Amino acid sequence: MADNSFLKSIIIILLISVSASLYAETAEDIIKIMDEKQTFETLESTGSIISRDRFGTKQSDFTSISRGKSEFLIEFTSLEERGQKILRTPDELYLFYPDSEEIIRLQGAALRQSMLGSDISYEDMTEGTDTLSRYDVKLNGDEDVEGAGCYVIEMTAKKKNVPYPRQVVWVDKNIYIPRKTDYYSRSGKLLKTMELKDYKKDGEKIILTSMIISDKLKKNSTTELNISSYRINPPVHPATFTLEELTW
Amino acid sequence: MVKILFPAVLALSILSLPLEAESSSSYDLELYNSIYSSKDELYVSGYGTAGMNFSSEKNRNVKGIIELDFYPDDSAAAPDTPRPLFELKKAFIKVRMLDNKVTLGKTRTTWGEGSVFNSGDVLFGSMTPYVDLMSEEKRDETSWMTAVTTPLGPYSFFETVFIPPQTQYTEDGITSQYPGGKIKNSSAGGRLYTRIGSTKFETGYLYKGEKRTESDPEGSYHRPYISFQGNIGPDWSLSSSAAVPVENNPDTDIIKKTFSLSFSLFHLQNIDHDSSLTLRLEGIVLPYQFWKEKERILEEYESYALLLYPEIVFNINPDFSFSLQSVISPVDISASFTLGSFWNIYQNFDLINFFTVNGGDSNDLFAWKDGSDRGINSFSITSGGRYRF
Repeated sequence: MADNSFLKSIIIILLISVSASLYAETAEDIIKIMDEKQTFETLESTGSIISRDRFGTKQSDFTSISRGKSEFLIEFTSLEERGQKILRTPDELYLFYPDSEEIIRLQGAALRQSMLGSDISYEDMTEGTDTLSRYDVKLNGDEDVEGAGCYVIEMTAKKKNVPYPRQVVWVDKNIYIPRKTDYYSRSGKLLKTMELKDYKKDGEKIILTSMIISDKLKKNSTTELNISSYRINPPVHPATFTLEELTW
Repeated sequence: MVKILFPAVLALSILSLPLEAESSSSYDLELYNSIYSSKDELYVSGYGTAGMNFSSEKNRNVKGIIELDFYPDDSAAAPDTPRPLFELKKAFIKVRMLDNKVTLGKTRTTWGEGSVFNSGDVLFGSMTPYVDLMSEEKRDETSWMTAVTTPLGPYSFFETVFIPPQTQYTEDGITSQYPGGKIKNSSAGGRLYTRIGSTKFETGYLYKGEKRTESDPEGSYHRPYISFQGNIGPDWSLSSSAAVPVENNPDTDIIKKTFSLSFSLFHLQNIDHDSSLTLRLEGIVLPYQFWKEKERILEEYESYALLLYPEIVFNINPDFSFSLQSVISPVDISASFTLGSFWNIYQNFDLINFFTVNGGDSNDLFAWKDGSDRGINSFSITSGGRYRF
């Protein structure tokens, strides 16, 4: 009997160990869940990019429609850039300038051009939610961010020529959203910090509706990205992510 | 460019119409003071444009845009002298019909590749060396047209274009008895825009019934073109076209003389997280034109065989940049250089400065002193602002 009890105990401990190891999340798992929560079959949204510096405030408004991880169509609606559009598909990125009625195909380094003079590049704005294809990730323990328990994950870019070769992201342990992200230069200098200010839950999905990006190399320089309204899974016209819609 | 009183009257009648709620409007002011040298004297001028844009909103199937440019003029001309005050830059309607998009009115469509030199631009002819390097859009001509775009897939479409002849005006601004022109002077054609592997491919043809641009010879011509764009580290593009006479032309070498090949290279280099350097090189080769310097000024559609456009833009941060642009004529060793600075200080407001200098002999394309009455030569210093509201 004693032997049997010992054997049972060993089996139970082994089972607990195995199941525990099944639930122990790796950095890849965490990032994958974070991406999944922010990926929608289709999503329509309206928002603005607000830059603040010592000369005042500049605002660019946009409407956006996306399908899955890598199809986006963004149209700017604010005065200065009204009618300019960006089309991102899995393998192409196009711009449309209404003044010249011209389609510009962005490739290579041109993708890293600043979008509308903001801190955000065309690639940043439309890169989608497939983080693991672009970064190697590593779990560096956990920390609290404004009272929320977070995984600390270090992300290293797989490609060399990127604006931020290293990022550290604090992912909320309960709802798997990035509460904060630090952006570093290749030399390890902290360049920018993103802080999440607001989000909306819709079932299992989450929309980040307000975030502030602070430039750590400039005094009083921030960029705020706000989503003012959105629709989840709206019907999307089959031609939405084509040159036809881009040039409309 | 038709800058006479008829567009002014049209503009005023449009402005007097009530604007519905389903439209938006914006206004552009681009105003400069310029000091320039001409004929051994220094001159100063205030100039610019005031643009108005009205666009329809919230209709997925119909779109209309009106764009007017005003030229503020502080002249001492007699009140009854016709002055070029207005230009109807754009006035067009876009309509979705079945799967096609129909565009009707005065607008632009850009064929081929290249911001300054583009052999594929057989409609508006982006081949001449004289370009306004201070302008945001280097080539922005518009024309009355009817275009039908038929999608052929996500990255492909076919576009057909019909352009009626331009109305000929007499010197006193009175139109001819027949607005427009003879049907044989119309222009019509189409282009295919698609991808072959990772390369963008474009080809098209335009029957051009009349001379419409400086680079067009007189008469009617078939204008086929071909264009490619891709990436091999830097972005690259190649475009080519020629003019084939429709009727017998005394100039038997005209196909050779109009054959051109334009190219472009573009690269962006990030310097740090905030600043970047963009490098662009465009050029046009007309292999059967002049490879040796001419004693006289070039005429008609004559050109030197090679022209280059290098451009360097140093973006210090997203709001402030310096640029150096140049049009170089290697054959006669002359060039025009424009150094610019742009500062986006406030929302929708840019402070802009330019210094332009020409370098070359008096009969070169870009002369320090050309001895003509062409206005600005040698150099100019321009300072002003651009505001949209």
